[in-house]
Amino acid sequence: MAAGSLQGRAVTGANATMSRRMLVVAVLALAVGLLTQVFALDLAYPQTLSVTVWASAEDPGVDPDWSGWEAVPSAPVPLTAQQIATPLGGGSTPALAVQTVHTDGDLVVRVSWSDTTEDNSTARAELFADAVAVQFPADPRSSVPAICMGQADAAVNIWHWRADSQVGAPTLPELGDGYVDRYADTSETYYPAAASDNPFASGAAVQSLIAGSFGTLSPMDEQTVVGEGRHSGDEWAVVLRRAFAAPSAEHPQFEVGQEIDVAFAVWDGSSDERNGIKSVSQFVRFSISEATVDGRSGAVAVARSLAPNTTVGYIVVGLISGVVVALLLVALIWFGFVIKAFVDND
Amino acid sequence: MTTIESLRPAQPVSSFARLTGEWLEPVARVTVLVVLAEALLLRGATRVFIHIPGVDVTSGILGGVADLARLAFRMAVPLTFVLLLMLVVSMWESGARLVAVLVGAFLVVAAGGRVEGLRSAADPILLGLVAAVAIVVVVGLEPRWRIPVATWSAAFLMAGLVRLLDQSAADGAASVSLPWLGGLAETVALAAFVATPLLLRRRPRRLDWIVAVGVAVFIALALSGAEAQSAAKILGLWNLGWAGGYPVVVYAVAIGALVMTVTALVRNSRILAAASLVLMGAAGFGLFSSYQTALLVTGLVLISTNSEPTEIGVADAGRSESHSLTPFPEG
Repeated sequence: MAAGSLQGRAVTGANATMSRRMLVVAVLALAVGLLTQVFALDLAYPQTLSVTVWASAEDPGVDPDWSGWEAVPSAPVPLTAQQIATPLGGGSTPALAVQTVHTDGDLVVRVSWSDTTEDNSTARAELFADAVAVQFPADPRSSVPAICMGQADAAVNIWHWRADSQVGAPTLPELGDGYVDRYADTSETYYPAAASDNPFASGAAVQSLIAGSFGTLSPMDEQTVVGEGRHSGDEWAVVLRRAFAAPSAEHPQFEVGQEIDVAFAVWDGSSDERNGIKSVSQFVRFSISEATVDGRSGAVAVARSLAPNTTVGYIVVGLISGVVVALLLVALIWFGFVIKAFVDND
Repeated sequence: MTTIESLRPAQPVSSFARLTGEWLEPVARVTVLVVLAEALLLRGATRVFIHIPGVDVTSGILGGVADLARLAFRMAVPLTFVLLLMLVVSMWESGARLVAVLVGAFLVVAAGGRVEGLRSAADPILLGLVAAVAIVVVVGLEPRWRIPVATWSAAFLMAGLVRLLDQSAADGAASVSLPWLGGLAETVALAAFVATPLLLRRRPRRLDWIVAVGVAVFIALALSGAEAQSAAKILGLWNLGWAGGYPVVVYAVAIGALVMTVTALVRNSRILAAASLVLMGAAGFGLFSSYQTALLVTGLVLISTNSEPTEIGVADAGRSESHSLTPFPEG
């Protein structure tokens, strides 16, 4: 009886001690969490795909066929159908390739993807244009906002290139038999979108947009992104460019040494993709480097020399592959034994 | 009965080790709770809220939940690394020095990855260390535990390898494309979920089955609706790295099996093993962040400390193996 009472008191005491210690740990963790929040300290780092933005002495302009692009590594970015907000769908483009450089204080992004058709007209209701979008958090310091259209407290800035915008609005004679009762007149009267300053009718190939959530997508007041696309063979290549300096607080500011999240979307017009029907990527990171593609100088070069593009890197990758196979073999070897043990014990 | 109480070094030889042993369990408990809160709130709730038309996530209750989610993340990251550090000390003091060295190296490289320019070098090394920890842990486990833990680890490593290969191409190396590997990783991960009941030493009871079936039905319904299907699949992609290409029933069965295992483990007071699965689940499959990768390593180390065949005696042969690995005394 006395022993039982003592044991009970001991258990109660142990539980009380555990509770006290958990409370202390929780309070300390809370304090550390608040400190890291206040001082924007990140103890962990993202391991998502990192695309280096190389320094370039030569200015590529917005030319998708600039010869220097051949030397810039191309990062593969997988795409999937947009399946969050209606209209759902897309996914006809499985991946795109990204190359980036910075020159003279400008960020230059080249995206390319396979597309056998050049869809650059929306002159009829049933026609949709090829397009691509590059999306950044409006505030690069913020955590990654939700993909697609951001969230109310973490907006995204979208650079949207459209093939039809690049070509420009067709003149009425070019519409052919698209509409009955058409008027072969080039007067502005017959182009109400342009007359009412609709951004899509501005003649610019690229729009800079901002979104805080679905249904809030709107053009920026400052349109500072330029770009050009070119369709050749079975591929689109589009170059988008903007100065590092942000024209306003709603635009992301870029600088050498910075890492910033970025996501992509592609529309294939001939697959009836438009609006939310598109192929989207997850967020990857742009790492704006001081190194050039040829030089790869400084700390970046040290890292690259250890990374998977060298012998050491390949050995590491090879070891990992071997480990994966070994683990599978371990699982296979023990499978029979485990089944037997399971049966024996049941 | 093995409980989290066993999270103490067998024979601490220093005051630091003794202190670590005394505080290991409370830190582990709080870490699991905070990580669970982070996963549910930050990676679940807030990502659903923003897709509800007309909902303002910056104010009101939902805004408060979003703030709480961020705070949970800020708390979970240091807690996870501190817990790993304490496990290193405990492992070292108990003689499981290989695991201690590997996990210690993981912490050093994870910290080094914070340095600009070293990140691309850190990722393959971290994945290699995860592989090494997984091998040592799997070998030290009692036999029937090896299937779920080995397949789980293999799935993580395969998904991580896909990311490394993409990074290799992005860095200008020869592009090696293994498009099938991502799909295989998802398949193996689902198999690992289905195999988790092997961690149980007793047959699941009716309550465990009821919970499992309930969760499976919920998952099936969530994945079957038009809008809900979209949200559920995208959450699976972001949080687990799953593309979601299999029939709905596959995911329902896999997640149901995992939930049944966790429920049964908790009901049997095997909190530590349940916590291990929670941490490994929160890690996802693939390289998302050094925090999530650390969660997998923490889960692996914790599950190794719980590998004691006390109830069915399946692995008496494995007892000595597991004890060569674990710093903790028999429960």
